[in-house]
Formats: sequence, C-alpha cells, structure tokens
Amino acid sequence: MNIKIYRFDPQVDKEPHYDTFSLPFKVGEGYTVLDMLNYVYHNLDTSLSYFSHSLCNQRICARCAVKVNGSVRLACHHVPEEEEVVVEPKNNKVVKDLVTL
Amino acid sequence: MKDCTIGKVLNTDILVIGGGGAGVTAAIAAKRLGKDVLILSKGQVGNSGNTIMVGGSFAMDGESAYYKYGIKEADPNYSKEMVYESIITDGFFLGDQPAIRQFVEESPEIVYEVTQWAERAGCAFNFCSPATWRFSGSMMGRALRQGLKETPVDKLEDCVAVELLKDGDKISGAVAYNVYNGEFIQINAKAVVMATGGYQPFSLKNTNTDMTGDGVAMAYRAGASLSDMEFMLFLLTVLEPQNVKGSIFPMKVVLNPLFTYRALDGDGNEIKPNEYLKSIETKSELCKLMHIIYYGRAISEGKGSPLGGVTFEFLNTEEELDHAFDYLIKASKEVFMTPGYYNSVDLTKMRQFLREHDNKLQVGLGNEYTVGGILIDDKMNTNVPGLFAAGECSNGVFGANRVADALVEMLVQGNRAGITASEYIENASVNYEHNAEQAQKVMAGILSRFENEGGITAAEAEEELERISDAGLGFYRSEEGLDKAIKEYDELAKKMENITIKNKTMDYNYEILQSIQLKNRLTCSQIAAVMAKWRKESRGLHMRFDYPQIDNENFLIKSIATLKDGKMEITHRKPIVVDVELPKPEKKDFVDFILEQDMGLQNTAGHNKSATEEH
Repeated sequence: MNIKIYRFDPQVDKEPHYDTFSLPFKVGEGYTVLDMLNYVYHNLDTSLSYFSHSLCNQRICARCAVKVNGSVRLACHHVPEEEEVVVEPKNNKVVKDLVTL
Repeated sequence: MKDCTIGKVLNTDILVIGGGGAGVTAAIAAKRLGKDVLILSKGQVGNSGNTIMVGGSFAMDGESAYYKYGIKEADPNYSKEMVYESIITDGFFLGDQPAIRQFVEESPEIVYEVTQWAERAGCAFNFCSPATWRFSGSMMGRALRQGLKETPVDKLEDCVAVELLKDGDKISGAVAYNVYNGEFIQINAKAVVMATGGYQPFSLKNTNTDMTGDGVAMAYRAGASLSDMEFMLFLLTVLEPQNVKGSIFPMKVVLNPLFTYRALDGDGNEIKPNEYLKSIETKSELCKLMHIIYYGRAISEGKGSPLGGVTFEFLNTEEELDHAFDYLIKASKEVFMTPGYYNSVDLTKMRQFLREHDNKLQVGLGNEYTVGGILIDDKMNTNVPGLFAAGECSNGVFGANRVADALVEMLVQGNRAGITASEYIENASVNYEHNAEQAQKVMAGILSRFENEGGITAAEAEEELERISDAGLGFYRSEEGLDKAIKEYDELAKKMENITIKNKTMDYNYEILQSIQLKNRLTCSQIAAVMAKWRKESRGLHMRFDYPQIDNENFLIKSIATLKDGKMEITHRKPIVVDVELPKPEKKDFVDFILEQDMGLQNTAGHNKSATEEH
C-alpha cells in the first residue's frame, strides 16, 4: 500500500504539498491509518506531525480524526481498503501537517 | 539557536498536574476550600490518561453502600474490614497500612459523589451487587467533566509539565510546554499536586500514549522519593486481528462465566494454571496475577504464540459463543458504549474472526498499571514540602500487587491531596524569585536539542527503550537479564544526550515532546530495574526465574530511591503496620503463599453479575 500525506508547516512553507510513502502493508491485513502514520514516523520520516500525544488508540478519546480518502475518520479505528491512502487534515485550521486545532 | 524566552508566566495557589481522575478530584477539593487552582493536563481534562481507559467498573464497600447511601441492592456483607484486609494481603503485605486505611475509610464518599456527577451528566452508572458500578471510560470522563462544571477550575490543556521549580527545599511551581505551539510557560505555585499517572516502558501497548512517567521522574529530580518501582501490572491484550491490537477485550472474556477457554503455548500445549487460581478467574481481579504467573511465564520462556502471546482456545459450543457475544453486545448498550462495540472492538466482527479461526485468539500481556511511584503517606504528602501526589503516579497503598480499583485510588487520593495541599499553603511562605532563572535553564536545555546532529532520533530511542524493557524487565526476570537491562539503559541515556530532532519548528513538534517523555520513561525504567535486581525473591508482580520463592525473612521491605547529589540512593524500610500482622519471616513457594493467604478481593461482580443472574 502507499500513503500520500498532506504536509504543511505554516512557519516555513508557502504552500502545502504531499509526500507519498510506500508501506510494507497489504490491503486486507487490517492496518489502521494510525498504524500507517506510526510506521512512517518511526521508519521513514520523523518530521511528520500527526496527533500523537494523549492518544488512546481504542476509539475512546476521539482526538485522532483525519481525512482519509476524502472522509473524516478516526485514525486509530479506520482500516483503509484502498491501495492508495490519501491522508489530509480534518479541517483547514492546520497547525502542522495533519495536526489541526 | 531558538528563541529562549518564556512565553508566559502564570500564578496560582495550587497547581494540579494531570487531567484524569486524581487531578480533577484534587482540583475540585482545593477549589471548594476557596483556593486558587490551575489544572495542567497533557491532554484534555477528563479525556486523557489512564482514566478513560477503564475496563468497566469501580466499587465501594457494601456496608457503606447499604447503610450510608441506602442502596438496597448492595450487599453489606462485603464489609469495609474485608476490603481493608484484602488490600493488605493481595499486596503481599508491602502496602503501608495507614494509607490503605485512608483508601477504605474515605473512598465511599468520593466514589458516591462521582456516581452523582455521572447521573447529572446524563450517563448514570449501572449498579450491581455487592457495591459496584459499571461504566465506560468515556462515561468516567463525562462524570469528571460534570464535577468541573459544578465547581469550575482554570485549565491549561494540551500542555505538558516539564520540570518542577523550587525555592530551596520547597516547591515553587513548574515549567510547562504547550504541545500545539511550542510555547514554554512558567507557573508560579505555592504547592503542586502530582496526578500524572504511571509509565509504560514496553512495546505492547494497551493504554494511552500519555503514560510516560512524567510526574514520577520530575518529582524524583526534584528530590521526591520513589518506591516499589519494580511492581508492574500486566493485562490480557488483543494481538489479533491487527486493527484492534492493544484492546483489553480478552479481560471481558475471562471475567465472564459465559466463556470457557484454555490457553495454549506456541507449541500448542495447554498451559495449566493452579486449579484454584483458575477457578476464581471470574470472581477476582487477582486473575491478572494468575495470567502473569502462568501465561507470562510461557512468553518469558520463549514459548509464546507466533505473535508473542498465548493462544486462547474457546471450549464453548458455537451456540454458547453466539449467546455469550449477544450478552456482550447487550452489555455494551448498558454502559453507554457504541452499541455492539467494546471500545474499538466490533463484537460482531470479533465473533466472525473466531468462527474463521477455529475459535482461537492470540492474546498478549500489556502493561496496564504502574504500582510503584512517588512515595506518599496517608495524607498524600511526599518528602518534598509543597509536593503532593495522588493516583497511579503515587505509591503506598497497593504494596506488591493491585487487585482493588485503581479508579478508586485516583479519586480518594486526589480528593485528599487537594485538601492537604490547601492546608499546607495556609502557612507556607514561598518565594518565586528564582523561578524565572530555573525556568529559563529548563527551556534552554530542551531547545539545545535542536543543535544536536547525527545522534539517535526520538523514534529510535523509543524503540530501543522498549526493546531493552521487553527483554529485561518483563513478567519474569533474572539477575543476568536485569544486569543487561541496567547496562543498556545507561548506554541509551548517554546516546540520548545527543538526541537529534529533524522536525525543526516548534508547532506540534512530536519529536521534542517525545524526547521529553522518553527521558522520564527511561528514568522510571532504570529505577525499576535496579529495584528488581535487588529483590532476590518473587513477590506480587515481581517474579524471578532465579529466585522463585517469596522470602518474608529478607525481602518483606520496601525499596525507596532518592536522588542525592545527582546519584540514585536506595534505602529500604518495612511497610508501616497498624493492625494486621505481617506473615512469618520465612521463605515459601510463591503460589502456596497466595493460596495460604487466601488472596483475591472478590471484586469482579460488576463485570459479570448479570451474566451469572441470567444463567
């Protein structure tokens, strides 16, 4: 699977852009969007910002919402079924990358 | 070089650090006494920490519920004395009896009050005999937020406390870091209540990412003594299917008499627990210890299942399993979960998964709760003037093993800590003169990490910490493994001096936050490993391959770590005894001792009572 992630750091970037990463996951293996973001952060790009503090990972706190292929989903719960997963901030109040106010 | 200016300075009487149950009850208690209070929380108050991860219930003693609160369904035979004595024995006698007495005497009032908050928040908890209420983590969060609605307290959310500030020996505030905008905040306060929860150093997670021991490590650096850090509680945790990995759903299964199962190791051999301990699995949360003793042993010996746990094979018929899942689905509605779900677990899909996998499920043991922490007395005092601690970040009540409710611990200690801190500030004269200089130094220390080059990343350091902890500090320990862990932790600490940050701006910089948290997790882990090495016996949640017996002759004593001139100093003392005698000074077989002491507070009725009633 590939993950295409919205990147924007308002302190340095003029325009947002997207980074695409190849993941060692296959459709049907049950990886959540959060598993994918964690994989990117730990293995491919530690500068990625997504909601990661105070995160329950069990669909309780509901703070990890992002837009996945156009729909707002909880990253910890949503399992994408598509080969390419586009992840964007859930609203336009972007703090950095996928983190919003 | 980054701008090293403190973003803002706040003043308060009492700073409460932590937005879970201990923090909220402490803040409300102090506010009711007319104090100026600020709650600082790494996440959202009432929606963060281990508090919202609650598995399903809390309780008071049945006497109080029946006589004091007039609840007719309560069972008065579940007496206060019984709970008191159970906490002592279930803790393998290492708990301080005055702190246990405080827990038992003061908890009914605050537990009842929280049930009233829940009712007024429109999510009334579900009562079952003996004196248990069932609810979900979100409901507990809603109840706490209702309490704050009725007694409003100033909040600073999504800000992490980084370091305590001191005026000589006394606490004079703290420095915080705003996770969203990277601003540093200096908070001047006459007293601090630490309510930050525990820490989890292992790779398998079943709780909130908040749990990084910030308060415990920060208190230690400020001179507070930590005790009994080697005792860590593990809980059955889903390993498959992948999308719900980390759920504590298997606990719902083992506590419920509708399910019958046996556990298999990696070779498919049945793991056979002691029959009596297996038989009380549905009656007492002592079963968590049973799972660690038997299932944990198989995993520690390298005989785990392919995913590193054990395999549960359900022995029910298909009809029985359907019925048991129907029951869980019905219960999910009663406790205000999304109908059909247990938190992340879609129960219908889980039933389907079992059907497709010969009714087998691989489960691991994830670290749920930290027993050790900041040493407190029965008033929540620490050894540092102006510093108080409550809930999971503290130590004193549960000794070597916790069976009674951590939720009750957080509420009863939080409430008391708020009162004690309020009394303390009546006569405290605290000078904030040196706070700015200290805060500046703390901030500069963190920002200097941006100058580091070519070192370990925070992500790598985290993986390294978890790898070392999994190998050396897990369920069963040994001299050799602990020596290795201690050495590797020290090496990691050195590497982390040059921790390198790729994310260069301050807005939501998880690498910086992670570097702060990792230092704290590492400090807690290092102290736990040193205490575990010293404890040459098996007691409670500390089990040794090389010392399998419990040794009441030499080790019925607490370990206490204090930072003296930059070095860890370890001392030991006996637990404080009031009215329950300690066992004979002799060595005994670990399991025989559990049976002989008749351990196991029977506190799981809330999970399965209606299941039993229906059958």
